[in-house]
Amino acid sequence: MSPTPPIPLSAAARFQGAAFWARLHLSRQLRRRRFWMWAGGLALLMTVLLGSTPISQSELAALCLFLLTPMIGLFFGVGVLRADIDDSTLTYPFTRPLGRVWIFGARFAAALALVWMLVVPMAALCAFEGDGHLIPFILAGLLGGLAYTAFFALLGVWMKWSTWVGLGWILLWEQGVSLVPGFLGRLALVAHLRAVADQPLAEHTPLTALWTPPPLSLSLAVLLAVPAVALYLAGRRVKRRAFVITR
Amino acid sequence: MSAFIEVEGISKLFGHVRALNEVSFTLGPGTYGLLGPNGSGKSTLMKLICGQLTPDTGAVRVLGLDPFRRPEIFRALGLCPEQDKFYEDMTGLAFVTALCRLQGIGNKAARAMAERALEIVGMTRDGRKALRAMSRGMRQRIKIAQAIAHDPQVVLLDEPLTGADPVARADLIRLVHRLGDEGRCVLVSSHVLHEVEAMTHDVLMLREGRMRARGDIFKLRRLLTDRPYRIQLQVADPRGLAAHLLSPGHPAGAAIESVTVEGADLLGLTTTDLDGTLEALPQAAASLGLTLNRLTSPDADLESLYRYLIS
Repeated sequence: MSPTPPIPLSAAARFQGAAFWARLHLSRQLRRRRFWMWAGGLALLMTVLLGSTPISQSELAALCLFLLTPMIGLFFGVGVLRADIDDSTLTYPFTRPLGRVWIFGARFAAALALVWMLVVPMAALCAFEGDGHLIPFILAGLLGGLAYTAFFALLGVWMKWSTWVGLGWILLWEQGVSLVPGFLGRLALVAHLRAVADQPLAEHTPLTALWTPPPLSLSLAVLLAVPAVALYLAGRRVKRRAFVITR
Repeated sequence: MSAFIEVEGISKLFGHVRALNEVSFTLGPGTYGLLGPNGSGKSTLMKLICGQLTPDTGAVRVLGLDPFRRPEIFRALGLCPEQDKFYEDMTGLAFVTALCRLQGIGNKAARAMAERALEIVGMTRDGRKALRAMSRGMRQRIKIAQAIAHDPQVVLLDEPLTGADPVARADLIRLVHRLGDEGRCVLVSSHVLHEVEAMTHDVLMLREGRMRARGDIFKLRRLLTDRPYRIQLQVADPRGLAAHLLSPGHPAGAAIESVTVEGADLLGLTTTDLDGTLEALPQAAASLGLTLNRLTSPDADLESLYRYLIS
């Protein structure tokens, strides 16, 4: 056997391999208890909120779309590669000709599918409770799930304590800064989700009078640009960083 | 191009710890043992060769490509990692098939590849068990199966015999021989010296991140001229034989450095010329009408070489 340098895989072969890897990890995650704990917990919460407690649609949206969607994105986003890094199983896919970026992309797609499976039904239930916001709510769920999962996936490949940093970011920045009227408030993704879902601040909020939602076109652009940039940066990070550390 | 693996002056730092320091070597076809104590840099070197890490200085090339930046190298490189980690919910066959799919091939071809690899490592039947239900030895064989399934030109095996029972060890040693004999480049990292010696006599020895020795163990041993070989022999009259060997003009006498009567029928001697002395001893015994009952050279093996160079 004489040494022969191999040729790169074709784009079609890479896509086929990545699609398989995404399906494999989606089915593995669907067999895991933590997904069903999220699903069960959300179902229980929705039953309680919609069944017995009198709650307005804006309050429901504030809880489900603007707090739980980022939380779900955080939970599944930071774990795109983190568990594999921690238990060293990342060695197996990273020593395959598919390439690290494709492996990351496949794992992200699997995580995003899980997020959407939780967020979209929740958004739809919220919409049914009110007076016809089904399409905006589902769109907000889809875009919010995408943006938060991508953003937290970037944090996950960037730093070790990404879950805690992400939690702080959701609770302090997203929930706090988004209430500030003017330009600063628009730096929070939640402000753009509010615009897409057509849900201004709740009436009892003191800032309601001052707060104006960003234009829908701007919000749509932001909610698409954030995941695009986050995934690009995460891909660069995955391509360049050595994740398997000698212990 | 004749080199499968080229390592040129690589160094790797982890914080202030220098894991590898100016290591260079080239490997062609065949089987090589990578030896060294804990912390010598073996695992770091393996991870650099399989593109899991990048060197701080120097370059690694496998089949002429940088393994960190060129993922296509993994079409021709197989790695059996050290850690005992898997996707535990999968069966052995599903695990190997899944990793074959990442070679960019369809499900049928991947499954056929995986089944052939499991057959090679003797896991045809047990490969259908869940990984979490497998013994350490079986899991080890699954790791080797995923490393060789895609018929790679370069195979890196990090502690491949860990947890394997004696029969499996013998099978795996035969497999490593076969892979090397087929013209692949097989690099085996291990702590267990006699197992490495059973696989190959061509070794690379690391200590504190530096390459201490590289080559055939017997040739390396011969280069250690400040460490004469010990020979121990069992014979009825050790004093008579000793006197004969040391008598003026005896052909083996010049190489013999010391002779010690170690027991009623036991003679120990040290020599700088192992082959010549081993050849002369039976003739010397025969000329005295003696029979050599046992003849050993306890420090002409890999373990002695390792002890002298590393310990």
